[in-house]
Amino acid sequence: MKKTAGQGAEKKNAGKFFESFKANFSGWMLIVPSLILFILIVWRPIVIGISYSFFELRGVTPAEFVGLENFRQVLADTNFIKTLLNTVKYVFWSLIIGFPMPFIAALMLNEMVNCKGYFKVAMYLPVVIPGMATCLIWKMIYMDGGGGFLNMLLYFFGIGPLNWLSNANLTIPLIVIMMSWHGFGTTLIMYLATMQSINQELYEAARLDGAGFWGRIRHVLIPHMSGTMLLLGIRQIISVFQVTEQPLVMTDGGPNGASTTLGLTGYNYAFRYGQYDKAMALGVISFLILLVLTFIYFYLDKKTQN
Amino acid sequence: MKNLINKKTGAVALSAIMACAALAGCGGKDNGKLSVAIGNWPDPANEASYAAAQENETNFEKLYPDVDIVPDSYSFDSKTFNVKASGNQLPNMFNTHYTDVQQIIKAGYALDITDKMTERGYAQAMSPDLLELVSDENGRIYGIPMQSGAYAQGLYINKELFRQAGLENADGSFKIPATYEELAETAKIIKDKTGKAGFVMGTSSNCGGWYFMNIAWSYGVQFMEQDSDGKWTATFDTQEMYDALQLVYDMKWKYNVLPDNTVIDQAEQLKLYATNQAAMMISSPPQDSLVSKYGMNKDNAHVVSIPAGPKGKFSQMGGTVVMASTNTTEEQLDVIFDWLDFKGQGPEFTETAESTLRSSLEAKREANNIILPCSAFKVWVNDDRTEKENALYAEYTNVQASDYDKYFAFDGVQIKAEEPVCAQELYSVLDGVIQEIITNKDADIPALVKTAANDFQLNHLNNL
Repeated sequence: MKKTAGQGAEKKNAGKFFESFKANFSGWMLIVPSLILFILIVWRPIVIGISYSFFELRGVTPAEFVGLENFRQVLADTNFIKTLLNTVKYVFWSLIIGFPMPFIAALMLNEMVNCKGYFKVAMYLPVVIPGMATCLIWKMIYMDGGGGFLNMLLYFFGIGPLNWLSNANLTIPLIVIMMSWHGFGTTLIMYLATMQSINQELYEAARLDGAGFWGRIRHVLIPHMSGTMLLLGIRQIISVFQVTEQPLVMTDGGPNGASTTLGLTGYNYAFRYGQYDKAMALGVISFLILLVLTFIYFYLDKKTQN
Repeated sequence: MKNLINKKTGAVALSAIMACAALAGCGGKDNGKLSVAIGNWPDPANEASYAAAQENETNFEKLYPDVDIVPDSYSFDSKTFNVKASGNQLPNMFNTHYTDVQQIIKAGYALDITDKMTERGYAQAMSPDLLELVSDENGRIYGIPMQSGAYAQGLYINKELFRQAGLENADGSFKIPATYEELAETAKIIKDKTGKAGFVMGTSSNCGGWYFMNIAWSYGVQFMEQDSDGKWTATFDTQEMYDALQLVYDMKWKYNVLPDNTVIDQAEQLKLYATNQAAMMISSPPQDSLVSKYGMNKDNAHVVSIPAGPKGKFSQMGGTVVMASTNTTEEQLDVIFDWLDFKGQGPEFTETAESTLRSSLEAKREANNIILPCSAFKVWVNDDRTEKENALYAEYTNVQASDYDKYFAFDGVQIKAEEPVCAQELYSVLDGVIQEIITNKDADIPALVKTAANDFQLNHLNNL
């Protein structure tokens, strides 16, 4: 049989690959464990989750291919839009409350001369508290009635007691405040590292040109920080979009669904109603939304690095 | 070099030996015996119950020398069950609740035990109503209702708060509310006199809807009906439902007798009651955690009949059901029935069964768990059998019988099983309505019910 040009090229490529594989055998062996773990822990669940979302499941075993039926049911759920909007509200409030907080704190730390180490540790401490414990602590702070810590505090000023988590308009911002308190330490350290990497001569040059504190921030700091801020902003959006355990522990999505998110709805489908197929479909919908955000993140990351 | 090769060979050989040893360990302690894994085995931390279970294992294996009982601590949890079942990791015998039986049958994770139930005389001796709850639509049986753990909901009274509110009669009895209206008024007296919540009811984690069923049924609410084509329709957008929810609304906004905290799951409800922060709650006795977890004196709890609504008294029932995993063989299934007979959970209350139950009650008493004087409802149609068992409970009870008399009298109480389909989904929808009512003074009850019925129909019943 006559060989085609394509087959020849393929064989040549395969040969090249094996030569390279043989030459870098030790290197390949070093990454094999990570690769296996990566496939098992990251890719396998994603692929299984996506494929199962097209099936009717009995328990967690596929029983019948149903095409897009699970997606139809999830999207036709009368609470879907409300839940999606709630999730967007979390993101919105996290950008208002949680985004500037670490930047301002990093700026203060950067300008500090004394006790910098102490404040750095103190501000990072909430990060090391387990998430569930943080939720429970803040649940006690926000508790309605005279027993809540916030209400006790207000009592001294003759105010209240007020309703906090049970107030449908306040629930999401209050949960976001707790999330920001818990997570802002990590972002702060990243901001601080970027701030400290700015060449001090630029500040001095700006000072010589007559720039004051705000001038130095506007003309030196912000231009240097904008890339990092953009990336951390996108990362925050991606992470807040997946919020689940905080409303689960603090409000169970209430009052009357006012703090329910896509993640919590997925949790309810799977673990409250045993509808794993719908949970998978909702997971895929969230995955697609996050995929778009992730592409934006990588695009901006590349642009920033360039 | 040779040394290195020897070391490598040695390491490989050692790994192989360890792997073989590990695999051998996975097989369990077979020894030519028939292994049967029994779930819900007590935790070693619970010393008395664990010791009693170990003793049962030894005695059973003496009676059946060819059988090896393999203790499995897996206790049913809806969050882990499906994953465990799909991985074939369930013990041969596992426990579940009435609430989850139909979902397990539908998922195909339980064995059809109809023939064995008949062969062993269980099916004939058991209450037909209960058998229906553990069977599929074709009448095939998949579960065995347990006499121990059977419950119906009642009204818990906190004696301490009742005394403080002056609601104790001269003879030491208490002024018990007979209707829900009276419950609200009694709660108001307690709130005024003690400052504590007169009544607590769950509002989250599906607990609000679950407890509310008792109230709704007593107001005459029919939640759903099935037409001749098998289609289910939500039928609770009615005046009866508005009236039942109005009671909850009034307890918050008219009488102000509910706790300040509005996100209350079952644990929080029990805590508030046990720690004298709330005077009354609807729950199902016995509740061991009141004593073991929250330090309540068990003589401070008094359980009475559930209050009446305009259409009577309704109490939701529940309890434990035993099922067999699908990988259980015919021989293993026989051992499961032998085990249940031995433990006093079978139709015949033999001497062995009595002796096993006796030691289990002793362990419960030692662990300071609550032992009631009898069971809430009868699993067996044979009254003699139930009476024999109840006599044993009465001997070991560690609560004052007078504290439970009115509950066990079930005077005019209709014991009702959960709604037939989408019960958890219904509770979740009702949770939302209850939360709105107790957090929003301007809540429009008819509008909320209309939305809830529509949501329940479109999101759940239509997808069946």
